Amino acid sequence: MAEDFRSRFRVLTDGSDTPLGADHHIFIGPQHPWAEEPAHFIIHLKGERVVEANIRIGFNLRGMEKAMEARTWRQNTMLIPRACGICSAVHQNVYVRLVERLAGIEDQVSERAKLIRMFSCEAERVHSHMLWYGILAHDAGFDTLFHVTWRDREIIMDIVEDISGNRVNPALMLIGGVKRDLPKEKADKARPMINDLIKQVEYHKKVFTEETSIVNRLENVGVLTKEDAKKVTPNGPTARGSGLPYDIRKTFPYELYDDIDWNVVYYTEGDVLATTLVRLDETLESLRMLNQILDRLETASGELLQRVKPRISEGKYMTRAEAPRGEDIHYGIANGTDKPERYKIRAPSLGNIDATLKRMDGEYIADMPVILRSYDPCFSCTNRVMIINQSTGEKKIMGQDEFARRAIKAKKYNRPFF
Amino acid sequence: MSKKKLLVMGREVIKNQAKGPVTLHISERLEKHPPPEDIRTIPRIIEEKCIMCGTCVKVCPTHCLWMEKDDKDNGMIWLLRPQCMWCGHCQTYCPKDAIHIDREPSLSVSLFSFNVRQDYEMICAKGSFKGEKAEKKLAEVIEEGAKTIKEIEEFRS
Ligand code: SF4
Ligand code: SF4
Repeated sequence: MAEDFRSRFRVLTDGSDTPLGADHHIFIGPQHPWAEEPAHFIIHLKGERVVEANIRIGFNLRGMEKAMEARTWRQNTMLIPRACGICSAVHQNVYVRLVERLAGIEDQVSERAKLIRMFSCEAERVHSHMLWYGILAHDAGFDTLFHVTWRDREIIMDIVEDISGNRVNPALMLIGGVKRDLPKEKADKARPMINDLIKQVEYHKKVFTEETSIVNRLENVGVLTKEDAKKVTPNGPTARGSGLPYDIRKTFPYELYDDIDWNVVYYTEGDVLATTLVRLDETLESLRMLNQILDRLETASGELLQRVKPRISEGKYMTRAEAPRGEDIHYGIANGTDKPERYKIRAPSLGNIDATLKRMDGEYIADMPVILRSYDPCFSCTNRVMIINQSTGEKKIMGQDEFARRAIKAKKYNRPFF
Repeated sequence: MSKKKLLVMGREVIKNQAKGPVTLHISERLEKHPPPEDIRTIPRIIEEKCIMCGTCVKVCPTHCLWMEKDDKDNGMIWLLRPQCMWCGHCQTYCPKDAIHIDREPSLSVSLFSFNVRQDYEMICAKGSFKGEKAEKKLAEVIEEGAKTIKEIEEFRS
């Protein structure tokens, strides 16, 4: 095992640690037309085949965890969804469950509140997956499908907007419950839309499985076998495409996921097509779950929001949830005040990078876009670091005004920013 | 390509030609597709209900609400509009239900537009703080913002 392992996270490249046999090196990122987000891939080639792919992460310094330490638990409820633009609800869900556990009120949350939370999470999974396979089609050169999927994605966006008041950032969850109710009129309005969308997604699945021009781009490309997958530990749809039926919603159920009827989707082929089909089937599964949740909401009752004191007693806890991209893990330490002592976010994309790099071995360079896309890269997912001056060890928290002022002075007097 | 496929494709083409473009002009789209009933935008305070407890200021994640007060019948709250992220926390935690969320989508002018008067808004002024005093305070705040914008303009030039 030890000789198998070669770290793929590296700074590179003066040529000193190039893998054997590579004759060309291609750099993708941090700014590249393929990617909307910054990451630096280094792909070593022999001819047209990839010998090894490496990555350097760390371009997205946001200091969010540090910012959380300066805010109260209540305020952080609205900061935490900003960890990711697409999977905001799931980040918020993990966070509120963590704080509820620390405050000792996790079993007081009512059934109705839990169902609304689940609705938000599942609606998010639907729009995230639809966004992803649309972009995958775009990367594979099939732009028609991209436009079709994104057009249909508007249906679920409208549902989310109607229920929460926001399009991509529903921010419905609060410590102790939810912000808004999901009344019957809205449920009745959403139901036919969901059924429409199920038909549309079934059509998308038909295209992805029958249209040869896209199947040829995805089938047998970037195969990650089950054995390899066990070594490089992917999570979420990437793992489920390689025959590892692991889903937090089933293995460690939270909210009411063990109460409603749904199946874990998994495929054993391990290629990019398999991960795509996992997501397509999951979208359908989530849409059916949405219908079930709406049905249950008709009878479910309970307070929407429990009163929670702003001060959280001392303790630490870890929660996780199944985000659209995989397993989202949060860890928080409370020190008895109304602010967290330390908070740590491990978002799913980081866990999937190694698996994706493994997929690339021996593939054609022309297949890189779809393989890189296969794990739904989200680099705001990937790192979250506090800015420290390395030479002096100085740490600084700055407001917007001070930041602007410093920049002005730095330019005026021509001196370093820090 | 088989004949059947060609026929299918041909039918699609003719159908789409007859239907016209699917994309809509933005004004047309807004007409057909208005923002939802419960869209969340900036907060509004009902002055009679507010007791100047300061909870909304404390829970606001972006620190965009400010408050000055003597006692519970005398005080004012103002809002920096570009900084508000429409989260609705102030509404949730207000003990007197004095805040409701507006429906009018009001975008910020720009990130650094501190001196644009419309960016600051007095959303609550009570008792002796009403009228002139509130106006004066608002002017002071805007003055402060103007200083920052001046520095930024210097930086840009
Ligand atoms: S608006 Fe509500 S929370 Fe804010 S000061 Fe008035 S009563 Fe308190
Ligand atoms: S909506 Fe949110 S950001 Fe805006 S004033 Fe209220 S608490 Fe602050």
